[in-house]
Amino acid sequence: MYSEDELVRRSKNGDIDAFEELIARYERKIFTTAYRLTGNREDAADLAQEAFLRAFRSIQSFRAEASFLTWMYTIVTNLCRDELRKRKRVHLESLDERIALEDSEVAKQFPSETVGPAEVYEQKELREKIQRTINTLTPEYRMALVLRDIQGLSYEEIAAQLDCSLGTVKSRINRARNYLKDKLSAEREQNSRDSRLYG
Amino acid sequence: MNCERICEQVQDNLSAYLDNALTAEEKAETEAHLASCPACRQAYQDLQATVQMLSSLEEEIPPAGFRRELYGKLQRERNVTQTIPLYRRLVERIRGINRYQLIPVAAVLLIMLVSLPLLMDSANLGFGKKSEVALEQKALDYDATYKTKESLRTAPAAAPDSVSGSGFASSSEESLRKTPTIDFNVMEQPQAPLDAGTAIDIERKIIKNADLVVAVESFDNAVSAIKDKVTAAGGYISSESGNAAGTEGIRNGHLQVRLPATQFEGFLTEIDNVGKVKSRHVYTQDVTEEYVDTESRLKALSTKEERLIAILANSGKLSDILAVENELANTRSQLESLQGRLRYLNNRTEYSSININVEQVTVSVQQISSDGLAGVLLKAKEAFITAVNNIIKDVGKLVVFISSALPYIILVAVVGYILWLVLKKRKQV
Repeated sequence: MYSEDELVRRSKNGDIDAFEELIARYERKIFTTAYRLTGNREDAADLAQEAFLRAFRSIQSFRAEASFLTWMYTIVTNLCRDELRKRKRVHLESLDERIALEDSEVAKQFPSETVGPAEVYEQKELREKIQRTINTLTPEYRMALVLRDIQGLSYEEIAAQLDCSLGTVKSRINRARNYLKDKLSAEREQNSRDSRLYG
Repeated sequence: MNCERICEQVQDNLSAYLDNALTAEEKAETEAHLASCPACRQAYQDLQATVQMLSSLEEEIPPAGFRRELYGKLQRERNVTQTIPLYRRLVERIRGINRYQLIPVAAVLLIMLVSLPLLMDSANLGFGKKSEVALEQKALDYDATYKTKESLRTAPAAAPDSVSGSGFASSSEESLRKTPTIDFNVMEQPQAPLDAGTAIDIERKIIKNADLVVAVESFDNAVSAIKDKVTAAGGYISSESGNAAGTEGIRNGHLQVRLPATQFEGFLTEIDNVGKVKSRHVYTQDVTEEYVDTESRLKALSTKEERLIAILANSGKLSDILAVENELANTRSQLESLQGRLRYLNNRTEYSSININVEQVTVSVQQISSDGLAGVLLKAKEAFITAVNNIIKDVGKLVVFISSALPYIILVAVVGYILWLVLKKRKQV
């Protein structure tokens, strides 16, 4: 097991194996971030790959001021932000519609599963539901939330990353969380009502 | 009421409190409020649960083949950078450019494509025949528009036939100023020598003429203003006439002005201050050839005269003397006529002629008083049309200004776009 610094140093010398080792270590984190931000597995895979390729291309400009992971987070976040902006321009409305539709489908399916593997399934369902709720946030709020609660950046770091003021970051995080809270608890109530009816 | 506001404020700060991102003072306030307000406490707990749920979300697993694919891309990337020459990489890069990124580039290219011929056209002005033809065409166009406007404008006051249909009539001051200037450009172009032997140091002899029709409000004021200007320019009035026509007593006059050629252009510009120049015809005549011709014939004749005198001194026979004397008289008369011609040409080229027709256009005071309301309407109509004309003129000026600024705008846009691209790139990585 090499240290991260060692791997970065070797990557800078053009050692592809060392960089592949770095990928192996961080691919899940980077992919997860991309997924949380875009809400779409195909896009997330593309963007995560693109992020690693960019990192490899410009590894020379990486100075060990921050950790390699932080640097990677910055790259993938920027890529996702551009992607979200592009999407916003093209078809935001259709995206929202699709999500609303899925929500209702889920609500109908849910009560039919009650025992055994359902627990596992529910876990997965919950995860997906959270993600879907995140997807309904506008890009600005989604970015703030993911940077804080998934990547664990400080408010100052988020402000720098998103190029906005600390006050804006604060209010965006707070509103995003409250939105999520309200949405998820509303759905939970709906579900418990449904399970009482059918169960 | 007040309490609600506090709750709202506290709830705004709850996330930051949770993340320990509040100032000590805010933190103390929030804690104090949470201790006393069950609703806010509930909100806080819900929020905490949500955050916990978020942070406990498991990492997502990339799709199968993610890593294999990425390694493949990496390998290709390295191969590309190592073995493929720079221009290939450039081509790849261009291919990778997003379609939307190309829109500004395409726009700039389009603008250049459209504006280039226009710019070329204006650059060509004053370069001989081709532009002259274009100019004439333009003048004709102006003539047409001018006539329609002018007839509209003058119809009630004066008969439309007072409008002269000269070839260079125009309605916009801009073009009026341009017309003579461009003409001068044409004739000031050094032309091919007429005759290789005599071409050295020949001063060009050019006669400049102009015919003007000027519409004025006060005939007497205009005529005296023109006379003042002529005197100031060192010229003279060679003929003057005037008459009053019709029951309204509209006065017309004709002035023929001779001006030093150097004052010609300045005078034409100044005439604009006297009244509205309705028509302008500037034409020139290049008499260099005739002048040179006359000069050399003069030289030959004076040589002949000298020789005849010499013969006369030597000859003895009366019949010879008479014959020579006869020939000498003949030669001298020719000589004088040639000298006269030279003087005339000199005068014509040193002094240019300007024919000015002065026309009175406004309705007389008597007419307004005899036809009060119509006069007001007339004036209003006239003012309205003048205003519209001014607007058209200003729009024209604006178009000209924008066209002249266009190259700079394009330059700035291109530089800005490149800068933007560079900044964007830097931010991304």
